[in-house]
Amino acid sequence: MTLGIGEGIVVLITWIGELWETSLPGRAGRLLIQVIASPFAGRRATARQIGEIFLQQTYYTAVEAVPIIVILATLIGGVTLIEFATVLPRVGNSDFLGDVMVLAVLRELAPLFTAFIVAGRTGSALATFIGNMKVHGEIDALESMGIDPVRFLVLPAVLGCTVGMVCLSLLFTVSALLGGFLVAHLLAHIFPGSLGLDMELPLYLEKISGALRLMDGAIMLLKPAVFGLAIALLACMNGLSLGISSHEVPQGTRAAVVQSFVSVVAMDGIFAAIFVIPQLTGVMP
Amino acid sequence: MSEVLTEACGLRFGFQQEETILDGLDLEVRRGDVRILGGESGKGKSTLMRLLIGLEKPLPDETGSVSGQVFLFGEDIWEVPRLRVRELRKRIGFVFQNNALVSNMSVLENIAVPLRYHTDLPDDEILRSARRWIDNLLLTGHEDKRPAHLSLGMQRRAAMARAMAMSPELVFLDEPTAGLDAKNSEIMLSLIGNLRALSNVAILMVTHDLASAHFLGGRIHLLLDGRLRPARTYEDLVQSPDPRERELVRDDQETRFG
Repeated sequence: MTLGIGEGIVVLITWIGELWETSLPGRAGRLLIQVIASPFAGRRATARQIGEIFLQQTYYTAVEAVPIIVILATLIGGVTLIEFATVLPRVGNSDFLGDVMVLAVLRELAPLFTAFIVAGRTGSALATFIGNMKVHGEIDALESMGIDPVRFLVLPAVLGCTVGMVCLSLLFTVSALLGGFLVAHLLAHIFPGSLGLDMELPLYLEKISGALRLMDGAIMLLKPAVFGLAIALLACMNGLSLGISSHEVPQGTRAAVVQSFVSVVAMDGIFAAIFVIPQLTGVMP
Repeated sequence: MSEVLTEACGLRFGFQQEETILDGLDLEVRRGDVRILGGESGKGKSTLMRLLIGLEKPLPDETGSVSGQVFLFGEDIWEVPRLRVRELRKRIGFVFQNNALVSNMSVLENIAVPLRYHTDLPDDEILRSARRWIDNLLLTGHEDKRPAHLSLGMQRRAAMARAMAMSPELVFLDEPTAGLDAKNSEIMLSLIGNLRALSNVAILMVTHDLASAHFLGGRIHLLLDGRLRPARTYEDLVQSPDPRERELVRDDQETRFG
């Protein structure tokens, strides 16, 4: 029996729909819709308890990660500044130091490295926490009390992780730009004249601020927010999708971290396509 | 006749289509009832309890929809929206066999969770109510401990306190005495008896300790071949003409008296 064109289209759309439903973006998208809808499906009274979990999550994501972010950002900022300060004079473009630092640190390194840290720390912890709750029947216990696990657990975790990620990325940017300068400046004193870093801080800051554009500020906030949202969603999704066996927990955690890394890099590519390509073509300033 | 709180009609369930463990099962629990579910291990007693509150979904029928119906307070839980099912669940309590207390919360916080989620009560009133249940369930002095720092008997009582926090009309107890020594089992049954006397809450309890039905004044349904046998007293089962039923009661006596 052969299918008509109309029936063929229906079969194709159904197949694509089923494929989307089971795909990673489809599953994460479905959870995102549930998260967005959850504040409107239930009582206001829960805001108090959800607020507590949100603050805990923000504290865990952002405050506890401050030392590792500052150390990492300072080192990466220092290395990046040294590399650019060494390479740019060779191509006769020392004046662009501010621009390339803004471009490299603020647009790329800060959101990406912070996302990797958050995926490794918060994403893995969140997936393990929710996964353990799932395999030990705690999620079912919440359901049996009429409590929506998405509203009670996932919503505050996602909000906390997103806010924490934005704060950390800003901290990374500041630490990388300032701390990096200090590291590079110190090296310039140890090896005078060899690195081309005999620039003073006010001039350096002037170059940085001169290179900043409104779009950089938007990217500085938007990118980490989207990355944080994705990391938390993937962690919760993998935790909630576990069965009843404890051996599934490390598998869920591993999947959450790997998916977060890949998704963050993929989304970074999408951001580049949205924000950089229009600039190249002159559509966007 | 009193109001039906939960009802299953023609329920079919299996973890795979070819392995049906519940096959056209019917059950009805009315206000104030005490019903005990007995039967061999692994034959679907706990699963039936989960089905009754919508934590498991029945097998699909030929048309692809769920086979059989489950009513909770008169509403078909597979027909009404999910949000409505959660509203209905506020009126029940469920004690899981593994207790399922939230591990990163204290006993007090665990008991306060449903009150904080579902009510507008001020926090001091919520805590006062939670402490009352802590006293009722003999957990005084342990309210700030995490579940992992409690004995199994205490964890079970904390789970019971959480299940009772919203003053439910119907409580599901999944093997409330499993894993407990004789003394703790006795304490648990006596507390369940006290709670029942206090609130006239209906009870649906899965247990291998069928003689507890005698203690709680309930009637026993045996789950055999995927269906429930009609409700009977413990004495009726002891004298049953069916050797399989007598076998289950004998197993129960051996479990209790070694």
